[in-house]
Amino acid sequence: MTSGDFSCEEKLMRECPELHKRYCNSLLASVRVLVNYRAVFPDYTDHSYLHTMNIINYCNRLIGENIYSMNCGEIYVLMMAAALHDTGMGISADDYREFLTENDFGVTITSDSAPDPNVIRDLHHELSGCFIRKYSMLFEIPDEFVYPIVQAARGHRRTDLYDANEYPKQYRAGGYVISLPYIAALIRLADELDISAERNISLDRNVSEVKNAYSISVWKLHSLIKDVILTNSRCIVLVDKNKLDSSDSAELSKWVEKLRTVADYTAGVIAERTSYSINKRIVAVEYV
Amino acid sequence: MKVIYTLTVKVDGRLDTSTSPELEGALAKILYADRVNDVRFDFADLEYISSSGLRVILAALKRIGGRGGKVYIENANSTVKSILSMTGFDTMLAVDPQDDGNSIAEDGTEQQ
Repeated sequence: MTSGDFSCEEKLMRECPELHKRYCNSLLASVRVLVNYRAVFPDYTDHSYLHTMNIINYCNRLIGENIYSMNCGEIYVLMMAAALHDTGMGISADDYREFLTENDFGVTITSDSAPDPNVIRDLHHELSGCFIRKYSMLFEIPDEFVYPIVQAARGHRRTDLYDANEYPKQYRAGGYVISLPYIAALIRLADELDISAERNISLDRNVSEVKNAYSISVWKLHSLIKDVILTNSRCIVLVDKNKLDSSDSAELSKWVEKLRTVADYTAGVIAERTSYSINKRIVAVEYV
Repeated sequence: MKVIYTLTVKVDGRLDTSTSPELEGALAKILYADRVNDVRFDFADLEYISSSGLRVILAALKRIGGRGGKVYIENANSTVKSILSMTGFDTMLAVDPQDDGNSIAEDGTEQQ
């Protein structure tokens, strides 16, 4: 096994077959549910289980030697939250109305409001949390793990990972002590790292199927990024200089700057709020 | 009479970040044509599969699953089987299934 590959999956299977079995049993449902985003965002870049796999892969690399200190409760929460973090992108119209009526997300709707893509995109992390709470049995999530998975999933964007009430340093579930700030920070950073061409695997969808002009430009930007490589001290965004033109540079710079911001933020959260370590990586762009 | 087209793909060596794009490209050309129903991956000579390789397998499953197709994994070694098991992929794919009948090759001859 190559170092870092499948370290979470392997440890979970070896040390807690029960939680591993629950995770595996949830896969088919996760795969099927996650494609629902295409009904709302037909031209978006990939938010399916293929994206989840990239996130878990990046998490395995970010975790590194910390795997020996992590417990199975943390690994299970991480993998389930990674799998379900974007379920909010493809919720049904009924769930849309229910979730926005029952929660104060600052959006007023009526009983016959149609789902607004702008609202869904803006609040999809919170909607994912609502979805996980409502459908936890479908994914065989034990009751005591619902809250940490919700927090880790909705933590992939915007939530304050320094908030000790929302993200206590030690949350107890199923007999395990779970470092919620660590799990949420890993998913947030891994989600941000998934920006290379591999994000949109051509076997699954072809860019020729994309019609929206803005989405076409986003797909193109992904295709310009050949890879995102993690070393001990750097996060290298490899850009295909032959495909890059001047109209792409400004947007690409924004993506890189956002990655830089998230990398710094999550490194700070992990250093200040957890007992785990993470390499503080400098984000750099290389043109190849 | 219904003709079932089964694509058999033999993969050797390692299926990882550097090699999976080649498999992806080859599969895309065939599977986009919508003629293949099922895909059988023969992993007899495959040493190792990474997450990138598994993504290609899942993408193939998604491509043909929508039209009722299936993906089978055959002859995987213990390392690859272990990976399929730990990632839960053995819940989504048929790993070393028993042959469930004859299929007809494109030239009309019966295959077993």
